[in-house]
Amino acid sequence: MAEPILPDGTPYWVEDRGYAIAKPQIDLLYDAAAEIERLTLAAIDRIVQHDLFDRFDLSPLAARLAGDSWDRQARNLIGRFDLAFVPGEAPKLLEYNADGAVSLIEAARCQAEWRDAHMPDALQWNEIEAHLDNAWRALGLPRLPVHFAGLKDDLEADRTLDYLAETARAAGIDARRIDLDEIGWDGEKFVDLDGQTMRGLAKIYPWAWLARDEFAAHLEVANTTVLEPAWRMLPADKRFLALLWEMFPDHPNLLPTALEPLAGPCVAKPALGRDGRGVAFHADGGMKQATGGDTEAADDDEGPLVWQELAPTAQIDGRYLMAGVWCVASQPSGLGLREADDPFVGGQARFVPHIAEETT
Amino acid sequence: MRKTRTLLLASVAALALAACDDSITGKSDFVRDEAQCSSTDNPSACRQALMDARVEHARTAPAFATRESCEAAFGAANCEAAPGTPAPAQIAAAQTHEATQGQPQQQVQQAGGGGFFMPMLMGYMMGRMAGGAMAAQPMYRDTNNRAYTGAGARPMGRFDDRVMPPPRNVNQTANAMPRGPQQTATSPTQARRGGFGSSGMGRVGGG
Repeated sequence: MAEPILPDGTPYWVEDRGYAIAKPQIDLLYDAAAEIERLTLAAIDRIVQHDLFDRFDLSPLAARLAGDSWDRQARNLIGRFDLAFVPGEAPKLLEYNADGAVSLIEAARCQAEWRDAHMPDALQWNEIEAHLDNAWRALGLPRLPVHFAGLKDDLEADRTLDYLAETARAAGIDARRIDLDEIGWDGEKFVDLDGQTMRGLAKIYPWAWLARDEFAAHLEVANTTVLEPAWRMLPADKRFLALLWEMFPDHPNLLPTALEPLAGPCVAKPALGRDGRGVAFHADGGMKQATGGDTEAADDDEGPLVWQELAPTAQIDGRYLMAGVWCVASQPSGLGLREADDPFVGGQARFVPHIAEETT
Repeated sequence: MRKTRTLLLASVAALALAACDDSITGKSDFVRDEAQCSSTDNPSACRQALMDARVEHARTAPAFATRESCEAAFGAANCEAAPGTPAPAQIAAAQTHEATQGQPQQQVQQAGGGGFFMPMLMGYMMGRMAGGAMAAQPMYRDTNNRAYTGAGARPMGRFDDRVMPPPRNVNQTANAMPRGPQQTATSPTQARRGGFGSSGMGRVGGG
């Protein structure tokens, strides 16, 4: 989605202004992300230990891939919490982009450039690159190359993979690029176009799709480390939000979420929808209204609807804000703010840089 | 708040490309050949770095089975044949490019190459390392005569200094010298392909 112009003709990347956020508010976002990550890992452990994969309609293969990767303690790399927040109150989890999060370059690089150019003395919550560097090194990948793969015509994934590969190279990894459909299987192992064994595969392509592809079964036997690991398919599924609410009811960082419509105003999201597609607002009484930015219907295979209570959202000068908090190796690492003219701040929202402001 | 460089107005791709142009037209980061080393403050370190970069070029420059596929990625007249290419016409073409570019072909032979085409070196990106040593990266042109570093190149410092990786091409056969242990290599023709990606075809995978 990182085109310079949004469908409504406004620029995606805002650079003539930014948001100054008080440090205590950033602390709230940090604490919320750390807490939700803790809840998330606990919930995944429950799913695996109690074999709750049926709640996600996983195929036996997908469930095995997810469970095995969790049992192996396969490390995760990066994800983004989308949080609704009202200044001074506990931020609320809207969803967890745990498996192929984008808008990474904007958060990690572009807004740092913006800060350097405009306000070099200002603070910014943006340790994403430093934490990525640590995370790549901690992964302990073998010296064999790691391949960064997406769909051929997925431009934003392509750029994000280029960027991730660059951070990996900086950490000493032999990072290479390949398209997903170029990946070869020789009967024993995955190979690239040169015939090189693929020991690492960093992808921007959700597990929900990968696990249905023809070669998915080979992932069980191949000695290939996949990033994100397969267990990330669980928190990336919005049914996970309902499980979280069930496990941790009334938690201050969670919104009431269920697999059926809720009593009050709520938002319905396809369980496997991406980038805000198919999200619809339901006022009390079943009135339905599609999201502002994207009225495109969800695909048939984007799963059942998940219903989440409508969260109050920060509103400044008539614009609505959402916080994208990046976690690298489960550590809260930085903030990317998104802004929209209506309360549904999704994939079509503008990216606006921020600085952190000391309070007296 | 004042407007800053125009590159910040554009998309991420434009950012990278604009930054790339800055690197080339900017100060002394770009060195075309050894002769230009004389005007740097450390000519011998510069020349050493260029020699290392030649080896890097031989190791990592994208290799193509045909001139056409190379030129599709890097632009007309931006490719040259690696020595040992059997067709006399291609050898003649390579020699022509050698004459016009003044790039010795010797380093390509070090790669054990033959029968393939590579983008021509247009020069080198120079970086300075701690202790005063210099490092150079081979640079290529693309179809729009923008500059690229080689496939295996390391990123060069800050985003402003970064250049895009070379465009990938399905006809691209291999790096001149594959990295990694050779015993892991499989003949590319032995592998089945196309087993990933079909579930998401035509959609975007990010969120």
